[in-house]
Amino acid sequence: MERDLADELQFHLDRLKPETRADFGGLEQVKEACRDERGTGFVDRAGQDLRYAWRMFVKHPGFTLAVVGTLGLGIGGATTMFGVVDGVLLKPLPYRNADGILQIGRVFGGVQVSATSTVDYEALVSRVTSLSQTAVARTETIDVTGGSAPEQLQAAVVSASYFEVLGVAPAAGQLFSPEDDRSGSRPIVVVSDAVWRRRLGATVNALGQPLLLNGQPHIIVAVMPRRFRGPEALGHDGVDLWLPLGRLKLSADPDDAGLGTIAMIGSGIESATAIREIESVGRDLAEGGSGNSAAARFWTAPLRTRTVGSAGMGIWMLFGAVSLLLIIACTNVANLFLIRATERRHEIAVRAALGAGRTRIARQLITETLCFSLAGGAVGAALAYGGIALLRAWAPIDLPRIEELSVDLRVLLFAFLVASVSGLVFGVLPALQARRTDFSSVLRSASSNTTAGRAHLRQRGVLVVLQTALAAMLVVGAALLANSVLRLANVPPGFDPSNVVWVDVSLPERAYAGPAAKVLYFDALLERLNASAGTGAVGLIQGRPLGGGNSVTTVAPEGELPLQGQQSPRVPAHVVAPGYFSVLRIPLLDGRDFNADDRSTSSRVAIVSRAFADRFWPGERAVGHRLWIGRIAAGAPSVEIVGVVEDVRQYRLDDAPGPMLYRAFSQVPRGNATLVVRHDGPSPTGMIDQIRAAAWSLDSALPLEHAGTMEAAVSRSIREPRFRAMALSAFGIIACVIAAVGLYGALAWLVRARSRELGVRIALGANARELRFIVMRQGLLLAGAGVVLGLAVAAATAGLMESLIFGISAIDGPTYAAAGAVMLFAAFCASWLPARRAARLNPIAILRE
Amino acid sequence: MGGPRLPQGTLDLLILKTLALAPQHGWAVSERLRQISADQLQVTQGSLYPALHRLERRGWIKSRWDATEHNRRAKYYELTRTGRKELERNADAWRQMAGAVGQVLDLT
Repeated sequence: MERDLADELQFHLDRLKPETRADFGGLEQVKEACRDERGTGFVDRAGQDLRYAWRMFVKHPGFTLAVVGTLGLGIGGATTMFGVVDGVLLKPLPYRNADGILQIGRVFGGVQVSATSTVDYEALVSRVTSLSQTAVARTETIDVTGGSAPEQLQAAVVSASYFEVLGVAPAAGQLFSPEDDRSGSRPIVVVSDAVWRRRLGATVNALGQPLLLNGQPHIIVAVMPRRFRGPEALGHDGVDLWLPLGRLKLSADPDDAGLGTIAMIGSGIESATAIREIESVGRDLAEGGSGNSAAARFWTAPLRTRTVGSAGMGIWMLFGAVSLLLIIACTNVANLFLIRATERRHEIAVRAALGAGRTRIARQLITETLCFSLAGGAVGAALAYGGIALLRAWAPIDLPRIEELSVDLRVLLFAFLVASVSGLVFGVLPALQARRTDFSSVLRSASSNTTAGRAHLRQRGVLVVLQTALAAMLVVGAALLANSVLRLANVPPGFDPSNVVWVDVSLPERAYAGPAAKVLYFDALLERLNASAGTGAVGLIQGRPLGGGNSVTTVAPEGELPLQGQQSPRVPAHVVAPGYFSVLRIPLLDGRDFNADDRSTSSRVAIVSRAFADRFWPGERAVGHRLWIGRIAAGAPSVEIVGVVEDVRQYRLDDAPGPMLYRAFSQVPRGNATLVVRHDGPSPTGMIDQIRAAAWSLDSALPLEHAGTMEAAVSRSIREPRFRAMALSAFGIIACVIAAVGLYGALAWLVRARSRELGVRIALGANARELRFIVMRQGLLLAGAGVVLGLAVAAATAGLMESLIFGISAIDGPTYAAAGAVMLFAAFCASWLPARRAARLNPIAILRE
Repeated sequence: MGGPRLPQGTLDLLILKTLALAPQHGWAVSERLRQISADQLQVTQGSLYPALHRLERRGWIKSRWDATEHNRRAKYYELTRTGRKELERNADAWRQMAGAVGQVLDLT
């Protein structure tokens, strides 16, 4: 194309008589005018720019690698975290009209419970007009037998409206109808896609076949779609079977809150209206109800908020940290582009002289940076694929909705946007510089290696301060989290987890119906284990420490019955067998442990924790007092306190222990409990196998999957804060290194730029130390400014970190000071080499230039 | 630049007409115009070549490289069918306008 034009014009030129040749008037301008007239200028020019950019790519592989690599890492990290933010916090739940789904529960004495009662359900259905559908559900564990291997599966017993609220249709078959909500309904079941594939061979004839659930045949009426998962907030994410509500014996007690409840807001109605109406219906119910339910109320929240729970804070924090890192990476890249532009001033000036307009040059520079940035973005997107896959497999933190994480279109769009915006910004800076440059003076200057102008030095200085400030923020955050984790790890849990293993035992309901069967089994098992070699102490508890699974109940101390209109306080309750406390070495403060004399026929006894005793009987001995547990029926016997034990951090290490109640297993036996065994052997797994063998020797069909060591449980409970601390520390270190490298580069540049002045100083007698001092001072000033700025911003935004740290305040003097010291030390190291080089300058060589 | 300053549309028209007579290269077009107008119209390269490129973009003329009688390589332009229609349309319009202007100018 270009050659054609040149040839064409040359042909004309040759024909002109010599005297008119001068009239030709700017061959280049004619060419440019022709090019303009071609009109497809944009595409052609873009093509030119791209070709030019490609040449730049190839000719300077070091530069390309640095830019694309830095950007790739930065964008990759940010995109991965955005994938998490989007998948967990931003995307609506995978149900039709997900934002219109509410979860509803009861409030008892200020404590929120994730369930309502049958009476509540009926009231919600009949009296709340803003809800189009209300549904209830209860989870059960079911033994599935017949056909393939027996397994224990999670099931949800649901009202027919459940599927309507979630807006899901079956992949095959028909879901429940309202008749199935009534008791005595037909024995049917809906299965998940996974069960259909695993147990039913994924055949079309699966519908209508029976499935043996707890020994009873149930007809399969529908199969759920592959991607369907029950709501996590109800605990249905692991559910594989759905059963009709009619199978439950529902209690008429208005306070027996055992049904998880979700509801769909009617179309066109605002959620605030619906929530208000639900709460007012709740208050109506409370006032008209019996003594116990007075002042009970409903709580309502969007299902998504309940699903995400408290994970939001941590995720946003990590996203913020990664974004800071991205910005730091971008400042580095911006710096590289600026240096490049400065080195190419000569070349650009020549192009300008040849007729390229300033806009044209600017456009070409921006095209170049865009290409680099988009390449970096592509690398980043590829890294994000790996990052998300790693997160899903490794799951270092308990992410809700982790199954939904993926690099989908929205995430890719994010990567593309970040890359484009950064590319434009990187291009604008040198382009602006190019606009302002006086090209003729550049061409006139003899040296092609440039001495930087003051403006350039200022730019670099600003970038260094910015980088250092951001790095300081990350380092402070990391230090706070690390400090937190250390404190958390050192918090005494109240029990001794060393050399203790636990095994969950679930007795199937149909084989062990009734309390006597359960007591019989566990007594036999405990006896057998006590007699085994290697077992020190053996115990049993429902709801092991840091494992959940306990119940919550109301208590009413004798002589302190709740008045009309008041709520009995609720406390967590655990059922334990004698010997439990000695296994975990929980000190007995007063009274006695349960023993063999506490039978189902003897008087009811209980043990309480220290906090419990302090709460209800401060200043007195709790032993000997009596209280009522649960609903107070007329004439029901009260329970006697026989012992007080030390507080235990049962649920979370960072929660101060509250009042706890322990009941005797022989008196209130449960089918699900955890064996805890202290062993003196070296091998925990060996001990676990031994326990399993003992349990199986009494009943070979028991599922005994869940087991582990107490130490692992304690360490797992700080898994999340520890991961966050590690991630932030990694970011902090990277940021520190980048900032240090940035400072080093700026100082090296400075030494070169001021080489004349320094040369003169040396000639005038300055010694090495003074010169080093000059450079070091500059370095530390820059870094110091950055550190102060960074720490100030960190302190100002400290409130954001509050919920993530434990044991210290978010503005902890020593931690901040330590972070600042680390940064300054890094700055010191970064300044050392340029300072030495300054001291070694040869004044004669410099002054001769 | 000799002769009256030609508005852009006029130059296009003249080029189209010249090419309607026979396909030519740029130099030949400028020479032909000079000859026919008895040296009244002298189009400079600065206007001619951009005009040729513009007309080619619009699809009214097309180009090909060929050998001249002296065996030199030159870019020859010729009218397309669209170009021929444009020429007729524009020529009519121009004559109409020139007539009208002349009439106005002839008013005493």
